[in-house]
Amino acid sequence: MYVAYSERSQEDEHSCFSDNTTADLIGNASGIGNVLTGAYPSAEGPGLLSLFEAADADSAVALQDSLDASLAALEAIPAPFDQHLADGVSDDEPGRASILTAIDALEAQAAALVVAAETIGVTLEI
Amino acid sequence: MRVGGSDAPPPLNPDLGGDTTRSSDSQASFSFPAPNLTTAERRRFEVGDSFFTKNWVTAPASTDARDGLGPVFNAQACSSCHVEDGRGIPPDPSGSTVPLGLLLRLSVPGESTTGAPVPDPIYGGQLQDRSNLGVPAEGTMHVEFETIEGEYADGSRYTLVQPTYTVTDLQFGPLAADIMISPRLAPQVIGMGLLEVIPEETILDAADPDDEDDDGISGRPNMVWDEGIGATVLGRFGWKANVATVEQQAAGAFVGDIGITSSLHPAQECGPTQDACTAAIDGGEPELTDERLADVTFYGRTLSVPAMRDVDDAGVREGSETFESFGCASCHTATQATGGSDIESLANQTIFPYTDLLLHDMGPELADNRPDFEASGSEWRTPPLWGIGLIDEVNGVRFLLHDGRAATLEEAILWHGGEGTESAEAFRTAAVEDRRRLLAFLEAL
Repeated sequence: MYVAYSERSQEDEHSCFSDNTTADLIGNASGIGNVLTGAYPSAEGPGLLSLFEAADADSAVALQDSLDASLAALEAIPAPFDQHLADGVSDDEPGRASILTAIDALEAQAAALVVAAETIGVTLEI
Repeated sequence: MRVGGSDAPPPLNPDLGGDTTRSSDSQASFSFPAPNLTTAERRRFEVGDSFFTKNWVTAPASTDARDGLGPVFNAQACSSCHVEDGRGIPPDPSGSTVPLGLLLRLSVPGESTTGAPVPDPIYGGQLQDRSNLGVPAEGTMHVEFETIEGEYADGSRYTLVQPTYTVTDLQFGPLAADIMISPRLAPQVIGMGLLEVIPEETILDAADPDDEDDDGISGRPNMVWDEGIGATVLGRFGWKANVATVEQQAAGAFVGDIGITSSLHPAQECGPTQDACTAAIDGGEPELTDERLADVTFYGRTLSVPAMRDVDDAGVREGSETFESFGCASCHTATQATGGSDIESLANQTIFPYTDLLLHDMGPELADNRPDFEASGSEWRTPPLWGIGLIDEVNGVRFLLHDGRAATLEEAILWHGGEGTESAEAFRTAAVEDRRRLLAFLEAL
């Protein structure tokens, strides 16, 4: 995401040819959400978050919050993604700024995952 | 034999790259950013990673950020040879591997005004054995193997394989009659930014060009041309320490290996009679902008060093003492300290690269007989040993030395000649337990 953003390069966006980048990014983040929460549209069960909760409730809550925040941030990116990559679109324009907000949120989620994993004795290198 | 207790060797520091170290023993071990980068630096690392990893294509193309491959080249991306930021694979006698990441440097006797080797008048300084459609490649790498049998002092036998490289299918007439060919294998990319900021005086102080301490180890700096500042400076990178900086290593590989021009190398390496090469459409002038070269350079400088494993293992710790007692550490200097750096995470770190970054005469068997700046035809830079135990984890195989002729750590040690003869002989004549401990130590690096 950041390479496409910083290079203003359509070929580096997730789904250049189908122009489906925003939906695919949301799909990816939802997939991570499925694994963490154990909640799928057609099934529900324990997820990684239940494991983290048992070890340390605070870091599990922080991870759940960060997941919600990244999904919300990704959903806030106006489609199509590549309109925000064009030359001449200022970094301050809301659409382009929304990409960076989502990147911030995903990085925060990754950091929260590292903290939560540590509570069950797993060291993640990311 | 010491088996622990109060006589046990001192503990080893697993953080080979100081604060840039990552704990990883997976296929990704060479691919992590230093953990102490800022958010902005981490994002820049990802941009550099993208231009290091993704393939370049022939110009013109709709992928305008990455067009300009060739006209002649060896690889389509940095990562074609440094797979997973790791090491190349040479042709091997069994034919069981697909070679990648081995190239042939070409030169004729003499030196240019900058002290650099003089390229072949037609084929240039490197054989490019691949090309774009409609452009002839220069030729084909050909290798012959000779088997050398040997014996440890305890009677067990070993086999070494010596490769000799030539070029066939030459498309523009013969190579110069006095051509010198040097095969070079792509090394793993880790820790280069740390090596770059070891203070020059530290490296020069360790040099002993006339062997005044009479230990059989000379250690000479290579002084090379810095294309960035237009002056002769200390060389640190490449198999003969023939490159001064990570940026020049990257820019040199971009133009030489991939055919991507930059402000440091604005011209393609097309020989005077390579008309189709000269006439080919380019992907921009230059093809790699200064900003992207800087990003790839940043990436190369901030790839982390994986942590040493098994530091509490008695055999590994004893192996580190064997490493000292066999004299390996005379050139493979364990501890270095970095100075200041524009990248904060690289500054003032205690690191364990196991190199002095100096040139040593490694004897006639390892010689390429091709001088490179001040390096003679039999001198090679001490390669760093950090990460050596993870190469097969990352790349599936592990071929060592400048042309990858050593298929195992043992073979690499046994190939040491010249200034390394005594250490290799200490290994060859050691008891099998001592050899195993030394290998266990190296595997943990």
